[in-house]
Amino acid sequence: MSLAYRRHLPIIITFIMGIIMILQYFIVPKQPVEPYQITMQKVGETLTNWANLLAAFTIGFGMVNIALIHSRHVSRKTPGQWYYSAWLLFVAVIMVIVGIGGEPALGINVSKYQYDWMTTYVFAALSGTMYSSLAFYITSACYRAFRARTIEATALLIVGFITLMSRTPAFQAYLPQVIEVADWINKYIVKSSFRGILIGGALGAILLGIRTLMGMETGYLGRRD
Amino acid sequence: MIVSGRFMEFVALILIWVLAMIAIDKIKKGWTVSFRRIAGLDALEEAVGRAAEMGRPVHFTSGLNSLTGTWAPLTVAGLAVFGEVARLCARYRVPVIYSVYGTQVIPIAHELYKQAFLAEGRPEEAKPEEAIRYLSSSQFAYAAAVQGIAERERPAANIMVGPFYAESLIFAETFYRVGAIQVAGTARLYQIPFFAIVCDYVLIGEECYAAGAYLTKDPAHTGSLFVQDLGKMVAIVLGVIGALLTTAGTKAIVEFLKL
Repeated sequence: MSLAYRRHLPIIITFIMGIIMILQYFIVPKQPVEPYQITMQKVGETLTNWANLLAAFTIGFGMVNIALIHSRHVSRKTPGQWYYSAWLLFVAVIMVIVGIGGEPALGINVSKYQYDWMTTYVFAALSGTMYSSLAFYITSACYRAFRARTIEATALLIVGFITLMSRTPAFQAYLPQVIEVADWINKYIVKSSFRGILIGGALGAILLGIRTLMGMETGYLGRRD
Repeated sequence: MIVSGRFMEFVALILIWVLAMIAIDKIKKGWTVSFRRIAGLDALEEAVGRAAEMGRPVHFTSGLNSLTGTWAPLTVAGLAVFGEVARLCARYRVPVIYSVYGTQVIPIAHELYKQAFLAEGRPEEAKPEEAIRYLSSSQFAYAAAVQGIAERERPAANIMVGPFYAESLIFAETFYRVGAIQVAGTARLYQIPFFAIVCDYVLIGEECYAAGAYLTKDPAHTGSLFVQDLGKMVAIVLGVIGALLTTAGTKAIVEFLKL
């Protein structure tokens, strides 16, 4: 494979596509009127569709990756792992079969109810369980964070206490001034800090974009040169 | 031709672009610029070294990554850090586990991993099919799978750079419990406090985007870091002027930026 093909072609494609998308943002309004605006909008939409289509192709990589890793665990009987892998492969196959069997777009509708049932009562329930477990992690993180060991930790403890108390019914009923203090902290101190981080992040993203378009950032191509 | 309200954005972009090119050119010609150290990125070697001493793997995640969404730049930044982590792991012969959420990064991660081992002169030791693990593209299924890896394989170091959502604290707390040293970075505002509380080192916002440049120490990258800092100074000056003018009763600076 020639150097031009491996190194320069992807960067040239990235540059042209990137410039088109940047121009589209700056010259196409929400309601395009001029012919050039309509053309640019169509070009932008087409490129976005291509990107999504290419991204969809990579699902195959994921399927192969999962099948290889977990079938290896099962065949090697990896201690503490193989039964999870076997269960994962079994459930994955079941979901694929039931999913295809219930796909109206393919003209098949024999297992739509079963697919919906599994999605609602198994998958969604498990996801909800994981999400709700976050409450315990937040509690344990708070326990460690809210210890007045340094000046910064003390400030965090005081602000955290005020914010937490402002959300409790007792303080809302008997000491509503706490709510005003918490709102003031959120409105001025927190928001201004967030804006600082946001501006820095935006500048970083812009320069990373410029480096990418100029072929100086090649990590997305899978190389570090 | 430029859409109303986006003129100043366009001017700012062109200005940043031109300044970046000038700075890169000057640095290539020998101009030296010094930067503050980024503790989180300096700590990568310490984290991998610790894993080598303990004989345990290093875990890496780029969060709920995507190369087609709003957070694609952050995913690219995460991949740059993964390239460096893989190189360090190859050097110290430490197994690395990259838990993948979005399938788009799998081929890129494979290539970065192989390149890292090649760069360290150990291409035969690369095992991308064991290191790069696609888990799930569903947020909490992914979170559960990462937790499983943490509990079963007990990595000595956990490095997280990318877009994180509600699962960030689940990861940080789980790896804290298994005793892993943690380096975490994201530009997602609501997850930064979680990382700041639980992790040993934190990359805040722009530090993640600077990672690739900082780690490679390439003159071309140093130039863009210089412009990044210059941009921050301009933003601070504009912010102060804007605050003073608004207090004085005029919104001239706001109107100017809205052009």
